[in-house]
Amino acid sequence: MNPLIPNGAEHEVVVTGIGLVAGQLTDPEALFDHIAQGRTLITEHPRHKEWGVPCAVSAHVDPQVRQALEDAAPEEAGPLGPAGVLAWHAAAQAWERSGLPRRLDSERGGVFLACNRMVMEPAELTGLAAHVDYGAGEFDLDGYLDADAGPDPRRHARIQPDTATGSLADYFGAAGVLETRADACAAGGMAIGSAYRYIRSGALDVALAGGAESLTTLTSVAAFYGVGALAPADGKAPAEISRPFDKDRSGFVIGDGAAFLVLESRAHAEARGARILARVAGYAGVTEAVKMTSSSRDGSDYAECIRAALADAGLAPEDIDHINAHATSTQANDTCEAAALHTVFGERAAGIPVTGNKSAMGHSLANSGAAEAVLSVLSLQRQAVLPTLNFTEPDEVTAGLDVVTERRDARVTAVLSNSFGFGGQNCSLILAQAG
Amino acid sequence: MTIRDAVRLTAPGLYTAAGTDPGALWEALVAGKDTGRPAEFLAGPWPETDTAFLVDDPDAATLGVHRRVLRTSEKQARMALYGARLALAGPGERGPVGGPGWGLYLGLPTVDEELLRFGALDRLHRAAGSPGEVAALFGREVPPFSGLSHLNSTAAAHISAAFGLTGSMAAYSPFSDAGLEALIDGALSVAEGENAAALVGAVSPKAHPLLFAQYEELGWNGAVPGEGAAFLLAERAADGAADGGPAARLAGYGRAFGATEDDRAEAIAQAVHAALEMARTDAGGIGWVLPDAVWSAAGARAQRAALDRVFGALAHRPAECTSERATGVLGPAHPLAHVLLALHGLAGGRRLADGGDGVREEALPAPRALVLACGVRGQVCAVVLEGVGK
Repeated sequence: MNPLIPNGAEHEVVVTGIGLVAGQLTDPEALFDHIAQGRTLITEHPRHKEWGVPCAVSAHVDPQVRQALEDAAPEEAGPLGPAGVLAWHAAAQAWERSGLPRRLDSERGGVFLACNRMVMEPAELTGLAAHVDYGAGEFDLDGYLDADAGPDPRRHARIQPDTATGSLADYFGAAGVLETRADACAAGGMAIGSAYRYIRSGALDVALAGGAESLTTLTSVAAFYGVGALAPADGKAPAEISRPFDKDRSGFVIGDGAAFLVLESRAHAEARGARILARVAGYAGVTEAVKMTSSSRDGSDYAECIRAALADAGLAPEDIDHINAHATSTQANDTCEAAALHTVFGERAAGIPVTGNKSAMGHSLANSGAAEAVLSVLSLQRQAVLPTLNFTEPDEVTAGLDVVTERRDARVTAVLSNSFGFGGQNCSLILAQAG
Repeated sequence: MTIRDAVRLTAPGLYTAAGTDPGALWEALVAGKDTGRPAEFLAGPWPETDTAFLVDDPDAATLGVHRRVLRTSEKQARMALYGARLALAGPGERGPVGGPGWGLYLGLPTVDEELLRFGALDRLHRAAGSPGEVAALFGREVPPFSGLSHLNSTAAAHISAAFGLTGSMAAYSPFSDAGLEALIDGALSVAEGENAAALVGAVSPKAHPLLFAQYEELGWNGAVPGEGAAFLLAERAADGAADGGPAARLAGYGRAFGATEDDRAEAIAQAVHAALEMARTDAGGIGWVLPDAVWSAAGARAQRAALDRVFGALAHRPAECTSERATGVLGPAHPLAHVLLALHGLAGGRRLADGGDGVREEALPAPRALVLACGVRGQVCAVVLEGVGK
């Protein structure tokens, strides 16, 4: 494999398959229709509620759905952890829909997966706690590993974020480039962007790119609650808590899910007669230098990222006719993003329909950018824009945006899909009609 | 123009148990210096060693940051930040560092942790069976900034903030291949004009009781863990190494994947052949091999078989050396530490050869070094570095 330095003969990158799992829904169209009807995936988490967890709402995957997905994964998939199972379903669905053969068996295929690290949950910790000598401050590793109720010996293999990357590459015979991305909440978009660049340069013909996350757990909820990122219920119904761009937004609601796209060079897709769903027209994945919890409040860093993606696509701001915003529903993020949209699009910002999918599906962190890219592809396909649930009134900064509140038929030719991670890991993708 | 001609690898920044620069590591290896320290948190007969290759946790003054940075980071991120600072010290003396053309490419480990402080585990043990009490304990005891500090990306955030990097970025995880993925993609970003310069780095996991459990379950062969960070700068060839420091070309790279143990030796050999081909050389053109510090028995067998396959027919095989006896196993940072050792050796026309009972220094017979990374799942990266002199 020998990636080329661009010489003007760049390869066009197209989308030929999409797959997704979120909440109780196991395909992209079901999610699109669900949100289009103004329905949410955010519900009370029964166990967290019972245990008195302060933020006991989430967009978790239904346990029965999860079990069905686990049962459906083939033996060849190997040991998969909670996120890996979701990744497997979404990726296999996208691959099957693309019409590619069961195995590519080519070094010109790759897998790009975004997934965050797991942390130990209470039951696992309790088993470990029995082997700590608190007086001496020592941990008896032998005792822990040898105990009858010791750890699942395949646990660490299951939960490593690259396990699913390797399993998918092996199963689909697409092992030319394997990347497991760790770019926080922007990782899903960045995985797609990286795959796009490899295909554009001619290094790959096909890539399976997406994200997976399964962090609606006590430990993760406690950690994100501790840092003040999660929205408190404050007496609101679960469905009303995530409210991107609304003046009363107060934090994000955590979610699970997985989403994948099959990307191909146009030449490869057309040669096999594939149905082309959309194009990846541009991408920027940049770091910034403000601080851990917030980007520049004037939106200048996010604006730079958006402009870089537009430049990469060879498009001007007036070419964008839909924005799928990162829109976490936190005060800081939505303020920065709204300011950036005003900066980049100026007065036109008021006329570009903006949607925030996290209002309905929560924030699935590393997966969120991939899920939103899948929904953006469907907006291009269906010429329709999804609503942002719970948006009733803007604040000073979010005013002047056309935040869509009901499903809207619209001309959609080029979508800007943003993902902005904690600590300034920023990603903008531009998805466009197949042409 | 190819990546070989377009990019220079410069500005080594290395933080390991052997010191804070590649020269110190080189000397420690040659001298057989004992750089291990007692790992007091280990108990019982296993692992057989009670030492590990630990580094001091950098404080705010060392890192040149406000104390609050320490609250939103864990040791891994702080080691990375220090590695970045060491790497950027030279470039900082010859001109401004940071800005839109400066990117960041990182290999990051993911270590499963308890999140509760270890001291709280006795209360968890007592509360087990009462989910409400457990949840309340988590609410009280989970460190307040852990939602930030435990994200894989914390290291990237703090490095960007400290040095004003606002160019293109990527972060990969979790094993040694992630370090060379960062190098390859960082160098490509410069070759393709996406960045004017890319800070490339990787960090080890912090040594922690659960690291041992994690490695054990993934087939650990008993290799001793180490802590550290390895960073360098990928610059445009026209800009590189104006300070006269060591520099090298990324002459070639290759990737491959061996899903099963049976496939891995072949995958490693494929990756090496791809890197050699891109570097327009063959096995005889390599003067020095720096294999990965593979820490599973199966991985070590595969790497040995692959190197025998590639170099076995040569009358004079290139010397091999890993830094393991002075740094321990550094995870994603290990192959980048080897890249920095290679830069040091290529600049001086020297190499290190791992003998049975020590490391010896020799003249480098050919100005190219091969560095390998073999991920636990079977991901392989190989790079060929070529000296460009001082």
